[in-house]
Amino acid sequence: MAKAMREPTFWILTALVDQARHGYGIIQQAASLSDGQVTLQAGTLYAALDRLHAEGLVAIDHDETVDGRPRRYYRLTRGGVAALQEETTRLERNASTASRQLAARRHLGEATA
Amino acid sequence: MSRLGAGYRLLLRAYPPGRRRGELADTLLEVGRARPSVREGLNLLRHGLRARLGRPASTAVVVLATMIALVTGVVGAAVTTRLAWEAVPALPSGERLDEIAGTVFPGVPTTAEKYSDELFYDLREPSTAEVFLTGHDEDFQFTDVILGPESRFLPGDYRQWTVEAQGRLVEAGWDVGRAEVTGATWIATGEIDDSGRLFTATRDGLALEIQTETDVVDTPAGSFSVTAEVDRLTPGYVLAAGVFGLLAGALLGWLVTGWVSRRTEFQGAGVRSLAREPAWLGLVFLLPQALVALVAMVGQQVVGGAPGSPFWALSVTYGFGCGLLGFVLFGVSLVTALVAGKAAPDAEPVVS
Repeated sequence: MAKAMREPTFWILTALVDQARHGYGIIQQAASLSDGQVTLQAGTLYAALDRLHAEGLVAIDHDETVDGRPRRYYRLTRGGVAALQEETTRLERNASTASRQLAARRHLGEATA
Repeated sequence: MSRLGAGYRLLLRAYPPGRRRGELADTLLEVGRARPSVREGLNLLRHGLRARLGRPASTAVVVLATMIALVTGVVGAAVTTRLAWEAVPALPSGERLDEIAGTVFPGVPTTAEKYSDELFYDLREPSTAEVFLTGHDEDFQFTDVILGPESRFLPGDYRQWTVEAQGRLVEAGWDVGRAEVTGATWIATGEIDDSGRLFTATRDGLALEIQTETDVVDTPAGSFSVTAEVDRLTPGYVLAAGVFGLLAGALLGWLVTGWVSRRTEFQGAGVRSLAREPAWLGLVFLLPQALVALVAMVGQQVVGGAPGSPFWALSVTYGFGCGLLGFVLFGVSLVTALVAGKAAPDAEPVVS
């Protein structure tokens, strides 16, 4: 069974699904997609990007220089897409199981009420 | 980067030099906070120090760096503690020692034995070269002064004398501890065969340990043997120096491990192996005694009183050979990184 993905990793990969983004772009997109539930810290973001890059799930798309500062854009690789797909399936399966259990409990509650 | 707050600029120095610092500065400027919160600061510090190790997908390098930091931290604590002891007032001599002897042994001619004028003594009295090659003898410990009656023995009852000596010391301003019964233990019952007393007293950074015994060879009937050992207590600033050395040594060990790791990260398997394997093997020799020293360092604070020997004593006596070999192995890793390693190349964009 595949290891569960950490929350920041999941949102970083999700933020990169539609287009390549730089650090702040990823932070903004993760916050937006999670309805403000996730605020990535810069330290956490770049540690995760380094790891994902080393694991081949994320690639460096291109570099820019803005106001003399280096800005790097990251994109998902095929491996990254597959990993995110696998995690999404796992989460759906877990949620589905939990929903079934909750429905059964409600049914049991009605029967014994 | 100059528009970034000083707090952020300082925190970014936790990261290895290179593009990442600029990239982070760009992100932090866009986030737009003037100064880091405590949580954000700790986050940058933690991940910056991790980035120093390179190999972002490896857990082993973190384990290795942590253990090396523990070893170098203990070495740092030993060095700074040793240096700080130089500032501690010397053991009493002359009138000051006479005053103590007069309080413990009033009206009795006494002798004072001090084996060395140095901080530590080693009965073997080895030269510096011998210490470097073979370490110290097993009796390596803090120098102390042993006071006692010239005749070695005092007439009378040791219990009565102990009570009176405690009273004299209290009058002289010493903080006197409870006297313990000493003597051989009966195996059958576990009881102590009461044949002496032992108590300690402290005053002005000094500790006195006074022991009376009646089972010493040649003790005349109706007499007892008595000694008063004068030691120095560990001042707070020596402990502070040790804690500083522990943190500084650990940080240095972590940074050097990171430097070796990053310089060899993208080299061939042979270079990587020659940097990695000696470091792990070195830890086998060094980590156990570093842990013992750390426990002793903490233990001496918990127990209190004057330390008999420094917390790193094992490493310069029985553990010396292992320690020396361990540091030689660390040296192999360092030399490998220096000679065969190269600064890690910056990752480039990949054209898909």
